[in-house]
Amino acid sequence: MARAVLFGTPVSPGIAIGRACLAHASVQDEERYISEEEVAGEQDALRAAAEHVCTVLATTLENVPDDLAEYGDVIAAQMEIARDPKLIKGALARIAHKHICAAWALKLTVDELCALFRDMEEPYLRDRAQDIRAVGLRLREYLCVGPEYKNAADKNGVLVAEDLSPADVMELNLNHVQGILTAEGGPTSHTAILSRGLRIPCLSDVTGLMAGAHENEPLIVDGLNGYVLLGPNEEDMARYSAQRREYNHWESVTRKTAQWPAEMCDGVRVLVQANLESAVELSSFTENGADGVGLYRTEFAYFKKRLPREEDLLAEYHTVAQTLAPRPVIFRTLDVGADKMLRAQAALNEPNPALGLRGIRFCLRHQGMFRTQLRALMRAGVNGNVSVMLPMLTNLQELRQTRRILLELHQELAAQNLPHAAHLPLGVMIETPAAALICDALARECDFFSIGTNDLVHYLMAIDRNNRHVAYLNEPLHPAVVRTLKHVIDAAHQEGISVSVCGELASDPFVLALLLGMGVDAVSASLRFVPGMKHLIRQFSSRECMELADRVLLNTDVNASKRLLREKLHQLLGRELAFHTVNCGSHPLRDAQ
Amino acid sequence: MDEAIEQTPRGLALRVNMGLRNGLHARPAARLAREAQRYAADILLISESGEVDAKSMLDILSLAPNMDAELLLLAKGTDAREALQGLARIFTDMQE
Repeated sequence: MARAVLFGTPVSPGIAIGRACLAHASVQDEERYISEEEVAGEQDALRAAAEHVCTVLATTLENVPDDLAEYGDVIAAQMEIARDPKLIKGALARIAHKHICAAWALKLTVDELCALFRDMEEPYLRDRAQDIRAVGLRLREYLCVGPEYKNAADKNGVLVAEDLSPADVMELNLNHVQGILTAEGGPTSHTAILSRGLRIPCLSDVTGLMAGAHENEPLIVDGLNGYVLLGPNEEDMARYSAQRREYNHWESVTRKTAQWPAEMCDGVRVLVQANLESAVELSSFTENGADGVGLYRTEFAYFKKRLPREEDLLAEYHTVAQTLAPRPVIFRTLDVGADKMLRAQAALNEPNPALGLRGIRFCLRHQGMFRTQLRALMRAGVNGNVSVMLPMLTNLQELRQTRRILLELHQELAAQNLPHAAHLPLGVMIETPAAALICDALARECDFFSIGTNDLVHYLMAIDRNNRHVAYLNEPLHPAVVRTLKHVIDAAHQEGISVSVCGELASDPFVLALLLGMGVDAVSASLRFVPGMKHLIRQFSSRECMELADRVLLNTDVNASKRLLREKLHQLLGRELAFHTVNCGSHPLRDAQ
Repeated sequence: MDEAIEQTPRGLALRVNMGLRNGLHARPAARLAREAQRYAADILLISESGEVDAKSMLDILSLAPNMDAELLLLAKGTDAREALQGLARIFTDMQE
């Protein structure tokens, strides 16, 4: 096969070399007319397939661990779809009326149902189209391959899939998988979180994946730079084998030293914290040596079928805070919008949700929900080191209003005789240009700052995160971004409060060096990156970083800044630089390879 | 409950109120469909927006009834009465 490169989003770092194995049997769209005599046979085949898929899903359902209960719901719903009369009888009728084979009849029925659900107004129901499609795929797979059909349960190459549903993830024995490639997904999908936890290199959103990758053909996954090399030649193999060996060695070194503090050569210490998506990630927390949680995303609990009650939230927050105590945990209050939406929000039908009612704006409008969450946080604060952080803040009033609500809740809880922490540290996420410009005023009234780099860059550069045409402007080294970071860090220190950076950019060695030079107190990134970041920080000195930051700040040319940083980092780190995931200006820097 | 079940030309009928806080989602819809599948009777679920097969979760979902819609359950067959009683129980269960 011809040598070719496909690009994707690196969601879990590392290098994998292996043969492609498709998670789902490649379903050929069999479209065949059949004779009257064949009708009964095709119908039996379809019934057998439905029964088989149901049994397999039932077994999977039993093995779902408690901490993945939300997978269970999805699998149970898929089971129900696999024996749904609308789907099965619809397809059976099509076989008889149109005289077409089972696979074709099934495809037509699935397409029809998906179209029906996709057109629904409710986002929840729209999403069910996914489940129908997933079940349809399984049924067709069985029809194609027959009873020998088995899931990729014990494959040990590089797993290739359109997308992996929770049921797939549960059935696959990912421990033997060397790498994962999906055509869809994203850095916060379950597959991404899971692959980071299991240290499997993984790329999502790989363009042209399903057309390019064929079963059992060799390929190389570069999870550091975000590409797949199809049909590598001997030279590639040799080069990447060596690189993989080096990378794995480097990784084991960083893991062994993960518990050491992140102290620079000249004795300056910073905290390296973790961004957590949910309590599921707690199990691997200690081994990665994070100094607490810099960003706990609380949205997870809100994407279930009903809104969480105070007790549900309390249980979750309590577990997290108590498990990690005395390490600090910063809970970001509900931030829905832009890419993830609640039903109440979707109902607003905003043309541009990223600039709409999201973050603290949404919370102050729907105060019932907000108060429930704050009460749960205050109560969880009794047994842990809990801080609260407000997202998407743009003015002082939002901060003051939240303070007043906290005071009211304190009185309410005291009256109810419920134990709670009365004065939780309250921080502000600096992620809008407005907040960055008034940060001196904000710093006087809050307890800490955390800079959310992802959104800040988008809003500063006026780009839409989903718009590929302006993706080239996503440039963290743009002087506007660099100066804003400096301004915010200085304002915080002037008022004597701490400032951390919690975007994924913090794990990028270029940006990390810059932030250290500006005097940031803490950085926070995915748990997976923490050991590597600590290792990196120990090789820097604060004096060198400061000089570097000063020179970058004087620069008005992005490319000059990059050259400067690259030279300096090469000199400091040498080969190790290649082992870090470089997000920063991912496009221009890639050609530096 | 028995007195609420009426004899109609199309079979036995029972009025139920949805009364589900968050609308009818996959899990409750699946429960209803599973219960309906236990009976031989043909069961229809009728709302303002149309009538569907109560044995199909997808059908029930596609009806997308709103939170406090009045629904009519219609059953025809030997075990129609038991079916209606069973489904009514599920509705009361879910409302709690």
